[in-house]
Amino acid sequence: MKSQYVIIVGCGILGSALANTLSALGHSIVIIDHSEDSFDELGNEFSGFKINGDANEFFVLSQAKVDKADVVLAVTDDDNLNIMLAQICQKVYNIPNVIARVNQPKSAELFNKLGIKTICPATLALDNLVRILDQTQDHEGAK
Amino acid sequence: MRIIIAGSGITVYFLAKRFISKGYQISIISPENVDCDYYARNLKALIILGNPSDPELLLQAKAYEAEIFVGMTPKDQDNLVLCQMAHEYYQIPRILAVVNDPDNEAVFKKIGVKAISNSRFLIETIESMSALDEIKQQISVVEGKVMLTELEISPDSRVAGKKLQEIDIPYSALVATVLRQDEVIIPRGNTVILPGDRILLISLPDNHAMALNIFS
Repeated sequence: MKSQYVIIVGCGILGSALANTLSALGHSIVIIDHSEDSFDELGNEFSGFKINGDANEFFVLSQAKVDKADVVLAVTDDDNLNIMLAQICQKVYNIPNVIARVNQPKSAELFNKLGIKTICPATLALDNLVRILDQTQDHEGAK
Repeated sequence: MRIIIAGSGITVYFLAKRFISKGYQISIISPENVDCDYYARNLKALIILGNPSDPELLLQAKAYEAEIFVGMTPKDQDNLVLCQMAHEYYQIPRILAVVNDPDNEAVFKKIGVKAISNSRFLIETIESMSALDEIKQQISVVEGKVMLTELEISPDSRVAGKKLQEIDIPYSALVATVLRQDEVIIPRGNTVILPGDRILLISLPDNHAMALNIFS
């Protein structure tokens, strides 16, 4: 995959892991978080830029040169912030690849319908759990 | 006519109170326990306690019969999502987000949600107070991209007695009208600006201060 300019908003467990992994794969990363301490999660493999600021302020996004981004991943713990950022990136900056993490399945469904790519951890976990249970049952049924 | 207001604090209270006295029916959705108590004791309105992002609460607030929805919580992102939910789930015809970040007025418009910024309103009011004495009134239009300023030309203004074409006005500014006593003049290049004239100046924010300076 060719190197892409990726902006990650939120440096929690998911955000920092994304930043470490994508950076190790050779992508240019900018990660934004309102808490300086959260950047401690970034490992040695991370070679991107950090911006300490609140992404709900439009100014912070422009500092990250959002207009140049290929990919924006909004993965803060605030569903509505992720949804807002995704819409700004998609509708104001026409960024091709934008994904919002949305914890509330109902919101995820609504904003999917409105054309925003969302991932919902609860739904993903649920699907996986059901599949694992199915497999265990099949396995037992075969015995 | 029913108006739903999502938000907390004293501004919501006064807004609701005013609209109730004008004969509107009001629903308030607020996450703050103390505020809801206060609203319930002091307002004849439907008060709902809870996280406004929960669509179920919109139903309790009678969103199906509401004409207007106002999202004015402290966070701009919450207001955006609330407004979009009110539109998508209940097709409330008129929806307004009150935003804090003035930049979000234009941003939300592009996303498709009408927004006004209370901080922009305050900024402009304070700015016009601190500005020159000559400024009688100043407003911005087109989401703050264009300034309209009413100025009185003082006798010691450097443009008093000059023709408009002799004045070095930046390209991004225009004298739209001149009010002389009670007569409104649409100025041409040969119009002479006199002390006591009140001019309406159209300018762009970037060169606004410079344009004002020329006439002071």
